[in-house]
Amino acid sequence: MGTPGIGSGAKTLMKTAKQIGAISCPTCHLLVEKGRYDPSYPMCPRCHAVISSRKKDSLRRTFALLIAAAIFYVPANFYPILTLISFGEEKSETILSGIFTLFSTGQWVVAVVVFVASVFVPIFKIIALFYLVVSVQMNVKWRAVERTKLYRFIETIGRWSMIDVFMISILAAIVKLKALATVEPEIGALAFAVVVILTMLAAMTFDPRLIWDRLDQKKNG
Amino acid sequence: MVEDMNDVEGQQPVVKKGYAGLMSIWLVPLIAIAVAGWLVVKTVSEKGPEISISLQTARGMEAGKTPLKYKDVVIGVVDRIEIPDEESDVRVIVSVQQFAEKYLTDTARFWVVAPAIGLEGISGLETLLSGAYLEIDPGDGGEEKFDFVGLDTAPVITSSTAGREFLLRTKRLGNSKRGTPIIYRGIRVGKILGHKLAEDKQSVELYAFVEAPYHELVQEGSRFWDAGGVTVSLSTSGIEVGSESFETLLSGAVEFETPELFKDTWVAEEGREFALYKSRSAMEEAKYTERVSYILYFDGSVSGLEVGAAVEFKGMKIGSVRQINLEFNQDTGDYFLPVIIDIEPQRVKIAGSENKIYSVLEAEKIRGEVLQLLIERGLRARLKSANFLTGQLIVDLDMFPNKPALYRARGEEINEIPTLPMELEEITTSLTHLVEKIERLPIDRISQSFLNTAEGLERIVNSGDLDQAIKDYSKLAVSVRSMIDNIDKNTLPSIEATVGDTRVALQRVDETLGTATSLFKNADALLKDGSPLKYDLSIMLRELAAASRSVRNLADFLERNPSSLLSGKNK
Repeated sequence: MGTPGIGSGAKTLMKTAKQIGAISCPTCHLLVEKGRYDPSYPMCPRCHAVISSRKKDSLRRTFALLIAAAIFYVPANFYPILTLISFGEEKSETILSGIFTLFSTGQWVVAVVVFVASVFVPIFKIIALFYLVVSVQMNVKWRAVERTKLYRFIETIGRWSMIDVFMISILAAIVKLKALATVEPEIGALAFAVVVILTMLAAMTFDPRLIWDRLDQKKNG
Repeated sequence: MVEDMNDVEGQQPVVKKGYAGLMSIWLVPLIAIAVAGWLVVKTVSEKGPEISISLQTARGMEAGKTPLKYKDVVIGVVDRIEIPDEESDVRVIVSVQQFAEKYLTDTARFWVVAPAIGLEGISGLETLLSGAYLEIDPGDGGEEKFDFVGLDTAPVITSSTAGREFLLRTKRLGNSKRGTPIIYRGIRVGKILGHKLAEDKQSVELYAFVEAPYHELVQEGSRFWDAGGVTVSLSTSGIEVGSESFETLLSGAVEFETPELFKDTWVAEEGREFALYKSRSAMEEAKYTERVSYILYFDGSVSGLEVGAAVEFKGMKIGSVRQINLEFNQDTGDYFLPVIIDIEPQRVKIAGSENKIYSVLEAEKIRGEVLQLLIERGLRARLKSANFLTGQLIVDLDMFPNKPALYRARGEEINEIPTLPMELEEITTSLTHLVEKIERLPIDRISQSFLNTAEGLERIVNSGDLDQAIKDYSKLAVSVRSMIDNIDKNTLPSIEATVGDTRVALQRVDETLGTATSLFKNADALLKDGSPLKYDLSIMLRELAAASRSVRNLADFLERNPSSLLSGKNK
């Protein structure tokens, strides 16, 4: 993945694999030239990996996954993510109520970390990917480098949102003290995990090269 | 090779494409919508109604936490707590789950379960850890309702308890109160639900609940009495102090029983009213429902006779005094002391009637006839001292067939039993008889025999036998002296030796006393001011005092914060 870093000023001097009709193998990075592959079923002649010039149905898939992620974002935040049963007393917490509890007990650093990782990052990813998909779809050529950087940033931070899910899983597995304290994951945790997975898949299916393709199309057209 | 592979693979493009159509990716958001929709529908459908419960205080209530339970199943949770301006109560809003909506009727009752230590025991201990919770008793159903007023305390019984409620009426509320157990032959069969002053303000009504299957034991003729507290009875065998049980000593108890007389009567129906007697003996007295009144006229003083005093027949109690009056006749100036007594004919068993079954009315008639017959045969009433110290009097009935019946009744509707003077008056009469008898004694003849005796004595003195006797006495005196001499010579020295031995013994005693003195000195040294032992003792006592003070502090603290046993001391 990743587009080779090129300055916008050097566009005319550059050629992409697509422009010359070649396909770069995603596995062994062999540049497969036109005629070296079967157009109906392209395959890397060296490592036999399936190759394609651009990710298949990238925009549509990303868009569909984003919609699903956005839908699950609502229950992830409004349903309790875990129930703490201690001394026979049940206490269900949503992500937001947990952040408020942390804040009110003075642990505002942790509160901020949780807020960023669990509330801000998922919604940021969804909005940012929407923006990328829409901008590519609408042939926007504005600030292609920044948009590519945004995409890389999304890819990088995406996995960190899973911390919450891991934490709840570990808590639920460890805190089984029967009457004293028991932690049970709730439906919100599941929804949250789905949101994180869907946004990661959406980031994966998005092909950042499309940002540059549009730029070339504009130029050519 | 590579080319070949490509060719081979290239022959099957259609298969690989297949159903991986463009639409497949749109299944993901569709599933997302379906799941989210299902979640919403589930949440909305599970969200039951909100009810408000008015409570005196919101002690122990916590919004979002305190559960509402029915038979220990959580059916709702306190959503928020409000203080309406216009009311003094606190309003607790509880969101109840959908399935529990059917319990929210106008017969439902709500109360707070919190730890409590009472005379009947400790309750709600589990809430020490989990915190207080609301409990519902759904009742028997009825109109749907969403605004409730919480009970101050948990109800004594819940609506699901099968049994029957009865009304007990008593003059004075004794030990019995809400929660007091009802006991049948030592078994706890029910509870007192509460009490209330009767409409006429002259008695107290208690609501008694007898649980199934014991409620069938309450029959029309059953008797209830207050069995709580301590009973002290004085009898010839001494003082007896008794109590039903330690528990009833503190909490009181109501006991019931069906007297032999009313066995196998109908089972009492719901709401039947019974009298509550203040003690078992009061109940036993009251089981004689038939009462026949008689009037007695006494000549002498009735000082010491009280209303309620026993009426006995040959020592057996058969009734009591109901009324003592003083009547004055304006025309003649005569006064009367009419005493009205109640005879309880049921106390008298009719011999030979065991095999016969009488109706209540028949039996009453027979008993009345029996008494009338007795009066004709010489039944008389008189006052008798029951207790010589206090001067209390009872009415004693007895048969005096040879004393004439003196009736004073002046056409009153109450039958009269003829009276006799009190025993003291009898004694006076008897004394008179005694004097009469003395008068009739043969005094002349007695003095004649006295004279004869004196003559006989004189004859003995003059006969000379007396002189001889005096001589014998002087001989005896001589022999006594010689015996005394003998004692001087032989016995005295041995006495001296004995005295010597005694002196030695005394010396030993003296030594022992010396040792004892030094022992006491040592003990004194041990205990005197400044001695280490006393110092240690006083330190120990002070430590003990401090320890007990801390224990008391701890107990006080624990009483105030029982939860600190687990959560520790709050800062």
